[in-house]
Amino acid sequence: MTKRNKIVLFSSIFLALCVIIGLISNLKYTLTDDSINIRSLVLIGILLLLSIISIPVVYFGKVRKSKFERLLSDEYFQKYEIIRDAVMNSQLTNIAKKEIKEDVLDMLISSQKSGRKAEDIIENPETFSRNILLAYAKPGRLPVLSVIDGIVYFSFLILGASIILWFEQASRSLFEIGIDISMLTFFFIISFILIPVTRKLTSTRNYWMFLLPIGFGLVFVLFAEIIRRFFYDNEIIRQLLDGTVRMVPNIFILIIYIILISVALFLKSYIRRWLLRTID
Amino acid sequence: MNNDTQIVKGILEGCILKIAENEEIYGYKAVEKLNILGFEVNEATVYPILTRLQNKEYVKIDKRPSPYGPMRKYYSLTKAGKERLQEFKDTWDRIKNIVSKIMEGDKNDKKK
Repeated sequence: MTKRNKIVLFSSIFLALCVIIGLISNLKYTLTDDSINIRSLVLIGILLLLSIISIPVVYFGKVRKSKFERLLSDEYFQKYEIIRDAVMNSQLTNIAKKEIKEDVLDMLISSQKSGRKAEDIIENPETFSRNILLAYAKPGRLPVLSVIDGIVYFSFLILGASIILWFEQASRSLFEIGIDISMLTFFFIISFILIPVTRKLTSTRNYWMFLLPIGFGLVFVLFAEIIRRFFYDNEIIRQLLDGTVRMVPNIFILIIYIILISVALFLKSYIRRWLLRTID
Repeated sequence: MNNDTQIVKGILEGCILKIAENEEIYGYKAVEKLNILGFEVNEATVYPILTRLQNKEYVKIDKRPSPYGPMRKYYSLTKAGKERLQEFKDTWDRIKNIVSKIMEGDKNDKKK
């Protein structure tokens, strides 16, 4: 296993552990409560299961080498995995991504069999990936799609969080559920900044960038605790930390979210087709 | 040879089209052929050019498993590719003549 893959696996295990520890603390609280909420227990069980499953998903989906990838020597594989990550993190279509992965793999295996050094074939895997992406669209065009992705992720996170909180608070209607403003800020940063930035930075040789989501999570919690301790007297800070907003106040807004997600996905596919068609 | 310059990329594109006109090629074979001809290129230079040619529909692809296992793309020229190759040949002949004249003129000046 390469260092890059070890970091990816460590990052997924650490994130899963954080969620599991949080859930167990919550479970302790739920069990000491006089009226045991069965729905809460079921929810905690589902989330625990998802956290545990996320580790093999990352292992089999990202870390474990495929049958043909195993043909590459370590020297070749280290180059290949940077190109693979850059292509997979790009905004190309899934068909194009699969095609490029196969092409690069075939080319590297052929070069390796001919006895050439990986360094002579691909001096800089980042430049190589950039040149491939340039063959599909002009530089700076495809990242525009990250904004649409952000809208979709943000909407999904809001809907997901509302449903989870509603599941936990059985006595209330879905439309009465409020989400913390701090949580919304967290979702916003994840959707529009953290995901695109992590995608961009993990497409380089610097594999430490896979730890960026963990780092961000820790900094966010630390920052929230610091401002709670020192600036809680301020009304804005108090609202930011403890205020809630009903993000799905009625059925119409719920329908708007669903329409927004569908339109965003359609728009993304349309714009991507147009961008990929207009190469020089 | 600095393969990053646009002029070399353009020349390589024309040469790859010519190679693909004569026979079906795949990535590694294209690199090998170009190196035998004296270009000193590697996969990092040739593969993006092949991708661009494919996206512009100058070459069509046929996918078959390679002897080592993974799927391999075999490239051959399309009608648009043949027209592009002809354009390249015409441009190349014109530029070659102009450059030769300039170079020869330079030699004559030095003799004087």
